[in-house]
Amino acid sequence: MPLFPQSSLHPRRLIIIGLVVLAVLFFLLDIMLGSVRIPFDEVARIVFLGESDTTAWLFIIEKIRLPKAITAIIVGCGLSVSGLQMQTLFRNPLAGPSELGITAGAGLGVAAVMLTSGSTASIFAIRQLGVSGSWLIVVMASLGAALVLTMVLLIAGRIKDNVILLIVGVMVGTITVSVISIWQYFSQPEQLQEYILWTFGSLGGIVQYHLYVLSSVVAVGLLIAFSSSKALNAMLLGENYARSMGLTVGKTRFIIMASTSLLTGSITAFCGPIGFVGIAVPHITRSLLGTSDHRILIPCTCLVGTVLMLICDIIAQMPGAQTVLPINVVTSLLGAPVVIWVIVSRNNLRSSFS
Amino acid sequence: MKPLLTARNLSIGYKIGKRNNPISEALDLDLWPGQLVCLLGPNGAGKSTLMRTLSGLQPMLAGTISIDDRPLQKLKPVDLAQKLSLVLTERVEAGNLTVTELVALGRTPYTGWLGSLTDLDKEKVGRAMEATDTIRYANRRMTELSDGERQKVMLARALAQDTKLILLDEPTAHLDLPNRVEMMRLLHNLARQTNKAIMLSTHELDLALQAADKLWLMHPDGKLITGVPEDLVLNGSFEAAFTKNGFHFDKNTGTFMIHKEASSTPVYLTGNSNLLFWTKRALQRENFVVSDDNLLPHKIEITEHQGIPKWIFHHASQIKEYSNISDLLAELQSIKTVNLNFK
Repeated sequence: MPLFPQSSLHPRRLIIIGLVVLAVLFFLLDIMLGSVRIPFDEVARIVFLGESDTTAWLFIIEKIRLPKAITAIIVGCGLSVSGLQMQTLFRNPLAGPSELGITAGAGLGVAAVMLTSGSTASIFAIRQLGVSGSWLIVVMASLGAALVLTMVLLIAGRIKDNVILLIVGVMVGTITVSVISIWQYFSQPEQLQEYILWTFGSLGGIVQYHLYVLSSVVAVGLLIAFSSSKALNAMLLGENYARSMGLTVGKTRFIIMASTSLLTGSITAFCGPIGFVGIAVPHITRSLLGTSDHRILIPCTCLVGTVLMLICDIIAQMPGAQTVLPINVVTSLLGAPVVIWVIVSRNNLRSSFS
Repeated sequence: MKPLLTARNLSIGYKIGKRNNPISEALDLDLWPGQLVCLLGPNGAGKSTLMRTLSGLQPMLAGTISIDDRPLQKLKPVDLAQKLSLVLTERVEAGNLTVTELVALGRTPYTGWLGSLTDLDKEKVGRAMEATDTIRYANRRMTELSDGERQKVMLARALAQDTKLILLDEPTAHLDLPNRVEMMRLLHNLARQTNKAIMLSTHELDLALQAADKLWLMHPDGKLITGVPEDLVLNGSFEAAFTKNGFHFDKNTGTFMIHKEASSTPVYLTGNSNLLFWTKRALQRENFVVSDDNLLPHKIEITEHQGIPKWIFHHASQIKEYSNISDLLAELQSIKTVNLNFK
């Protein structure tokens, strides 16, 4: 049937294959590059076989670089998909976890744990805590994210104006940040230092059960997102059409919000507020694949997010140098131009949202 | 045969706080299979509210609506979506979707959790696109379409939803005249051939009069009158729904005429029917009352000699001849001014 082409040589397939190849390549590069030089064949041997002659290399890769690269993938997938869901839910090209203050909300949850529960609860202390500690911070951050998202939806949910929604989001974000500031003002200097370090963002240091907790929560969030792709597709036509096609809009909103809060909350809790990935990646993916079908978009957004986050991490490590840049700085430096490009090239924006 | 949709003692309107603010009350309505119903009414009469209430997008204030003998409130959203589809006025902002993808979204109530299309779904999508003649631009994106083409695609999506009832809110808005006629013809044929009940709101009074099997006339005061178009015209309900100073409904031609004011100058007009019609239009636009009283001081006689028309203007024993309406109107301006000076 010519209406529904099923050719295997579809350009979309080639792009997806290309993305997979890039993801694998940058994954290996990310592990290979760093302050200590490890040859490529050794890297491949350690990653795929788990053995090496040099125990230091084995340790560096297994305990530091591999978890960091996996975290980069989790962050790339999670934030991008949460951004994609928000852009569809709000029908707004400028929606994203950091833009609408969701990340700030998650930060509020983290601040609540870090700045109130006594001197022991700094982020490094939390990393030394057991599974319950990491769950606590995930739950608090997700609740904080959900709180902000609910507020934005309540205030601006019925307003279709892009600019008003954005202003409301920024304002709610500002309120959240102010609350955190008040908290900081009355906090001990040591606690403050830990919190400010957290705001720079970091992909490192998330090992063992922290990594398991993070990856399982993000996996749940991604599964929810993918299973709601049919609903997201219907939401593309607007709420009234979605409802007329048998969607319970309230339930769908709740599911999408739950998924977004889980993804943004858990990632922000462990890695700090990482900006611009959430807003930039969905746009890149849409213009790359030229589709609005979420059944394709969600997996591909994951791929693009993975590639982009790995590139950011490679840049952050500054190969050849001894210093490391905070990941938040790199994503912003790379992401902000993308957002400008989205706004300037109206065609690109138009093709997705008008 | 039973009606597909019935509304009894229905109140529509908005709730402000806990207080009901009804627009229209005690409505008894039926939609029968195979019928095209046009909902007409002046702006602000509550057409969209009625549309939204019947489709379940907005709660009713009182009364009952049942679809296929089941009350609307008891229908699950998925069940309702398999009985009733909508075409709304709101602009769809999903430019990245191709026409086929958008029409296929109409199958949402039937597909599984991931929305994959079965062969039956694909066949229905194809048939909906053929019926609306949108198959020609099946692979174009929504951004590349004109407003008229978009409207047809949205209709195709409603057809793909394969429901017995289709409600359309102003489907002819934004369309040019040929497309408006085409859309009405299409809907009329669809109702007849597929035995669907189709209800649409429109401002196209003359098209509605021609195509509708039944009219629902909404008065500005909330009264709703239903009936066959011709009956409503003949008993004066049609005109009453749109009463406003400045124009009246001409039962002879079935069109609305822009009204002349009471103070305007009467003119006697006589001549060939075709020329008479157009001259009358021009005179009415210029605020003259065309009368058949041949004792009036101003008379216009239209003659045609060898296919060349001639307007002869009798005025206070003067006789002037004109070869076109433009010159005639220029002369008539002078008698209007004179009259104004007298007042």
